[in-house]
Amino acid sequence: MRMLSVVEDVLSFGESTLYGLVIFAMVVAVLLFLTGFCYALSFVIKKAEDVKALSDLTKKDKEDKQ
Amino acid sequence: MVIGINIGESIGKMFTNSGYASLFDVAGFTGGSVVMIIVACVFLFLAIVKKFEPLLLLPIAFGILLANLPLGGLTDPPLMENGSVVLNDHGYPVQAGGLLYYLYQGVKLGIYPCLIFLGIGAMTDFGPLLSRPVSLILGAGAQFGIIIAFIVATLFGFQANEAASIAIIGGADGPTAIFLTNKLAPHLLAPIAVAAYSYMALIPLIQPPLMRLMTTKNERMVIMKQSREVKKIEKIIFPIAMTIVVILLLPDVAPLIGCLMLGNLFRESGVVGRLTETSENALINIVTIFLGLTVGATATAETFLTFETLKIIALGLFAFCFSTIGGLLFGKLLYVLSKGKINPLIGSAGVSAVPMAARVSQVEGAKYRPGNFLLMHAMGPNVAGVIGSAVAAGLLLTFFG
Repeated sequence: MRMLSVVEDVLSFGESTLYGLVIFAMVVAVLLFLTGFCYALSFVIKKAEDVKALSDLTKKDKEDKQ
Repeated sequence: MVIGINIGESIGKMFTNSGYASLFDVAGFTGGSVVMIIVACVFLFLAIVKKFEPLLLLPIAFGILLANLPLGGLTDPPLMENGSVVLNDHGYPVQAGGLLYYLYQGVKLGIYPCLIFLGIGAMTDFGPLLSRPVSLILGAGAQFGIIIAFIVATLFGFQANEAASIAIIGGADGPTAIFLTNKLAPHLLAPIAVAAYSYMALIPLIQPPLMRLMTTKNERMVIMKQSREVKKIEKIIFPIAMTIVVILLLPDVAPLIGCLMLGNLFRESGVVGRLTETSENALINIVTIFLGLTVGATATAETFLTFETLKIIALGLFAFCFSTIGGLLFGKLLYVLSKGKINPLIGSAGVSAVPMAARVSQVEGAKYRPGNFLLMHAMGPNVAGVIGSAVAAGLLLTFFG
């Protein structure tokens, strides 16, 4: 009986440890994803600004030529 | 004219109907209430004299005091029959509930934590996070204590849903702890809320020894380069994009993340000054009063003075310490990966208590290199911790809700 209880405790500990590790891994994965997302966001905004700056420059150049 | 009142009898009746009689009535004496009144007075002392998170500790302490004074009936529900309130001929309740019973509905229905998040969003500048998005990883590391506490709590005999609620204390985020506990283990709300807010108040005492233990002197002396300036458009897009991405991923935390990001959008959009001002001042202050008072009022002697509460308080401290350690370990990892450009002390700010944890990083950094200005660098992980603890809460809800 006592042996069974010890086995049950070990199994329960193993299960909660597994749950814990899985949840922590998922927290890290979600936040890593958000990190990548933030980098992507700043990259896209920077590119959009570069494109706008280039288009403004081209427009100005055209106007100057005319 | 004879009025017909026996003064002695009236005074005696007044005394027997008073709370004093309840306190001194040997048959009905609840030593627990007296203990809780003493606990309330200690908390009031800590809030007023020691200034430990007084904005929250003071209303919590007063709530404990009010709930434990006998016969006040402040937390009593209205007279109910078959699930509905008994009304008199005029349509009014025969016996209305106490004031705190009605205010508590905001906690019970999960309204206050979300409104607090709205205010936090309106006060938070995500600029430091956007200028160095890698801070989000430190926010993830600082959720380590949640997991360790979850494992230990199940070993202590708590059910998985209870263990998850206790573990979230490690996130050092009071509103998130209340939000999650309400959904998973509402019967543990009082000790969990009190533990969460108490440890948040004790951050300047708990974190520095762990910071010194986990880092070397050289690491603590690292001077970080100034981060890039974040454009306004980035700050406006961030709350909108984050709302979409996170809520699609974890729908359970939609109320928390939604309110946090709405408050932040108020701030960054710059077009709703009045709403921003209300969210970051009046609204958050009013809700803090209601939340503190009613959470304190849940700490009655019957629910609070149990062995379980002691276990929760011990596990909360355990969770909190391991969260700090987790943040610092991830900080050390970034120190190595960045070839010594990131000071690992900012990792401990990943526990979300904003801005106290960031201030602790600043103070510790300045101790070893006066003039080392870490505050703005630590604000990144600090606000990342708010998102991290909400994500952890969402995952715990998904698993055990």
